[in-house]
Amino acid sequence: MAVTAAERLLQELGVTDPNEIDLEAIAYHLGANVRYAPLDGCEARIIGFCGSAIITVNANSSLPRKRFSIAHELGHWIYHRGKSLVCRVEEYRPQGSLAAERVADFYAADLLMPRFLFHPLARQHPTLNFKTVSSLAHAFRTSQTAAAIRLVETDHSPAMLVCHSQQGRKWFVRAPSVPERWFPRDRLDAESFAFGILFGAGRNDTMPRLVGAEAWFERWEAERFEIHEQTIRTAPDEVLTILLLSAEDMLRGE
Amino acid sequence: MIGKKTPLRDGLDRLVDALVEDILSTPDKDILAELKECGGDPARNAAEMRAFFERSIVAANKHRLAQARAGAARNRKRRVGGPVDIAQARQRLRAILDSAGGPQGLTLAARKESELSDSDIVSMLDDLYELGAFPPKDDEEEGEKEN
Repeated sequence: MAVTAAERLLQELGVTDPNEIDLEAIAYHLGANVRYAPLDGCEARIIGFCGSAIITVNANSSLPRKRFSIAHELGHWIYHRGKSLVCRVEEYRPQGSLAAERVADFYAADLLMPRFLFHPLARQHPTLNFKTVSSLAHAFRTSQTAAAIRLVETDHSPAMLVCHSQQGRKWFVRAPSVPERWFPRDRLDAESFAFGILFGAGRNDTMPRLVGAEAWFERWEAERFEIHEQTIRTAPDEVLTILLLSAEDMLRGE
Repeated sequence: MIGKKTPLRDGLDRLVDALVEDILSTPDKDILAELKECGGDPARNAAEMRAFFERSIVAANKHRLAQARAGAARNRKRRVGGPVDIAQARQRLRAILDSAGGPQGLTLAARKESELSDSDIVSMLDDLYELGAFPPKDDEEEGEKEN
């Protein structure tokens, strides 16, 4: 896969360790200063004029959130210079964003978790579960959600990541090795462990658990398979689930 | 080499030039053969040199990152603002955001003016002044007085 603009920038700055991804320094290198202030209307903003810019980040946000916001605004600075955008910085979401926001999100993901550093560390963990996700999130100072998306997108294992609120599925991401016919249910099935965590007093799964695939997929052939599921709560009304698909027939094309 | 020119130094310079010229004019295969004759391993030598260059590049790039870190640290400062007429500030910012793209060369990714709090409005205007998108506040006020 080709080196992205964010990854090239990190290499130009000699970054060889996740701890060296100093976003304020990277911003300065690109002509932008980072400020922290209480923001009421949004997580972050960028105002640029000619070759200089000021990125203001909500001082009350968590560290991973601040880092994501800076990286996201740098994405705008690189790709949308000279444009005025109505921006809504959300946590890294793989779907449902406007085009410009997605471009900035992808740039942020590459800057925070460049593949040349992420892959070698991810490969040290043979199993995709939330323990692995936490370890990588800690190493790259990102949220668990952002690290989990990166892990799934890089095809660490044949897996899906699904986010649900009580209103239904918010988004999902599928590893390239998982055929597109596997599409997670919109509403959580009561048979899934995630259901108990989202709607009941269920605690986070400490390890992936075996569950019938029909709990997650409406497809006719789902009843033939079992998958592994691990769910954690990410917000009062939000759960994040890793689905591991290991049956060969599930991964075979139609 | 930098130093005082002497007859001895001139002689050494000529010797270095001749040696370099000799190496550059020798075919690659002859150099490789010579290295092997001396017990050298061309592949290993090439790998060592490649690694040396890569280390040098990374070190130079890390120096760039260190400079950026120092620059970012210098630029950390807190802004102290004076009293502001919020209605006027909102009007001012709305005028900028509503005009097609604002001043030429302006980059902006932020919420709509109507969604911004008073303090967000003030800090956005401060950013615009600091970036030079407007004339300095004092000039502007004087211009208003003259009018």
